[in-house]
Amino acid sequence: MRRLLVVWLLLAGTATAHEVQVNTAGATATVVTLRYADAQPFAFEAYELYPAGSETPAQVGRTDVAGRVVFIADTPGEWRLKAWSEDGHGVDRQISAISGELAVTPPLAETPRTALWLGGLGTIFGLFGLWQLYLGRKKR
Amino acid sequence: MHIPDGFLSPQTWLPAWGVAAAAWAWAGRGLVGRLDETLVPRLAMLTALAYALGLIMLPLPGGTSGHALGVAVLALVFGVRLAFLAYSGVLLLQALLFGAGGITALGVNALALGLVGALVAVGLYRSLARFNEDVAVVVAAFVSLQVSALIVALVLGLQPTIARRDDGTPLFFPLGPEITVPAVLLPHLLIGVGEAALTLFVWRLARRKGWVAA
Repeated sequence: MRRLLVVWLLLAGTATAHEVQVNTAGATATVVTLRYADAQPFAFEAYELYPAGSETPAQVGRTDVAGRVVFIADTPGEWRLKAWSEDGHGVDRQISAISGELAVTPPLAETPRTALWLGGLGTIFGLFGLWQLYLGRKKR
Repeated sequence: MHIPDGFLSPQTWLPAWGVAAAAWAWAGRGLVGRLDETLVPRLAMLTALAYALGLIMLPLPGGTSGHALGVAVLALVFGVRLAFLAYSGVLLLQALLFGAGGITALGVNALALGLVGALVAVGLYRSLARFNEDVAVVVAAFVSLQVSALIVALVLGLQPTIARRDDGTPLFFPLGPEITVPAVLLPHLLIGVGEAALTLFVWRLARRKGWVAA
């Protein structure tokens, strides 16, 4: 009987190992916001986060409703973020993760889109304009 | 539908660059003789239109968004070779300035959107124009977009098969064709309607101005 009691107590001890304990604490995280060019959030899409030099992701999941990936970098530096949607949109780029500070990736922040847009149009018309000049000179 | 950098395996994008380079050489052959002073401003204008279209995102049902291409109109007005060259330039600019589509993926994007899109558009238009030109333009624009979208979806969907680790984990784009094909094609059915309407509008305008041979 005593032996049975000991076995039962040991089994009870291992049973507690399956309990998931919850510990809540405040921490400063790196926040990466992904969005489409029209400012729609890249929401609920899959991502993988790789610490510098690692081929094993340290975090996988889905972006939140605002298109954010939030993580705490135990090893600060250049992390690799891969995020993708089913229709082939997404990013695969390095993220500057700064431990203990809030970091938002600058390239995805406010880019002067109108200036780039006009710059592209200027490039197209400029190149074709040069071609037109070349044709004009050739004709003369 | 431009594929970004990091989604394609080198086994995919390196050969695609090779094929695209050969196609660019083919399309560029005799370019100086073909581009005269009246053609250049027209080509510039429609190339700028294709560039602008690619950057205007249209909201679609399901929380996603998409954009028209403008390849069909380039092809119907200027032919396959000029359309392919012009659209490749558009893709390069969009990749460099906006990160819309990647540099490594440029070969695949140019072949799928620029070359195949233009070939399908011109081929369908020539087959159907004898029945009704307007319908031929609409069908050409709509179907060419769907074919391009299907190629992009298949190229993405094949990545897990082409490049993976020993344990089966995909190294690049992780989703198979059973997911990518409907995910890419379904929104483009709607975009295709807009693309067809826009192509018809611009094509009629070009026709009225005498840019397109009657």
